[in-house]
Amino acid sequence: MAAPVYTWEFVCDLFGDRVPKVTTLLAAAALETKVGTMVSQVSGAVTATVDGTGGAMVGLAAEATAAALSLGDPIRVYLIAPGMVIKGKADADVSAQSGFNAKTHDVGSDGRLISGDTTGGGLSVWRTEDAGLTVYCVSTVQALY
Amino acid sequence: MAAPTYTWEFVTNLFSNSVPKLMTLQASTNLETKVGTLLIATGGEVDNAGATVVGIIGLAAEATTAAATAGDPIKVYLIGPGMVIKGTADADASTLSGFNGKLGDLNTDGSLDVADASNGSLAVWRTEDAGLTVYCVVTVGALF
Repeated sequence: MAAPVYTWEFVCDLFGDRVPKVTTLLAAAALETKVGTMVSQVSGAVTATVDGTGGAMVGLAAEATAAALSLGDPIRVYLIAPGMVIKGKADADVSAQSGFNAKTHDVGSDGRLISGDTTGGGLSVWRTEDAGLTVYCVSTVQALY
Repeated sequence: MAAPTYTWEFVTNLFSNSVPKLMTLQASTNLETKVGTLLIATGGEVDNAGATVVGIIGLAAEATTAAATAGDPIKVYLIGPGMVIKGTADADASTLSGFNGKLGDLNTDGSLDVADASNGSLAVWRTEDAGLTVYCVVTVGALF
């Protein structure tokens, strides 16, 4: 399937001066990514994060695929640790969620934070910009914690 | 009781360049360790990680010469989020690779119980040696 339209980027670390490490993991069948596609670990393989898999997020794709991958192909991923802030888009104004006002926000198949969906995911909104459509989030629950 | 047969060792940190800090904690009654025995925190003391490893605090940094008395000091390497520890599995754990499960459990001998994916707090990053050597992260620790 095509890579999600919207991507994320690492911004800063609220807990220290760390930056995301890059590691090579195994892709799920048909995975396609852009640099910054949010990815999850499902059944031991990396998939694009969609509604319901945000709780298994592992990081952001560190490479753009040229074509759909096969199961087990290598894919480089920026690992997102607790306290690391990532910037992305929301599908509607989520300014009311600023200030870490929920811990399990979810992401849709287009890569945007889903407004109003605070279950099944693993993101918390630190703050927003652009009338609540640009979000700065931390990861609270994911594949490694 | 005797220290578990199998031990673990810190390998790397997926989230930063930090290494395990060494701290002295209080032992539980009859605790016996080797260097690298996986430990949990329970009741304000540290104990061997057995068949329920929720509350992992770290790896023993010293070998005991005899069973400890409650409250005896025991040096522990604290394991934080993203720190990878290497150990032994009781069977081929390759299907657990890629963080395929977050609740991996141990046997009393200190090996990963491959068939038990509940009540624990280990996720397998990758394996070697036909799946018998495992590289794990702690998903739920005593401190996080």
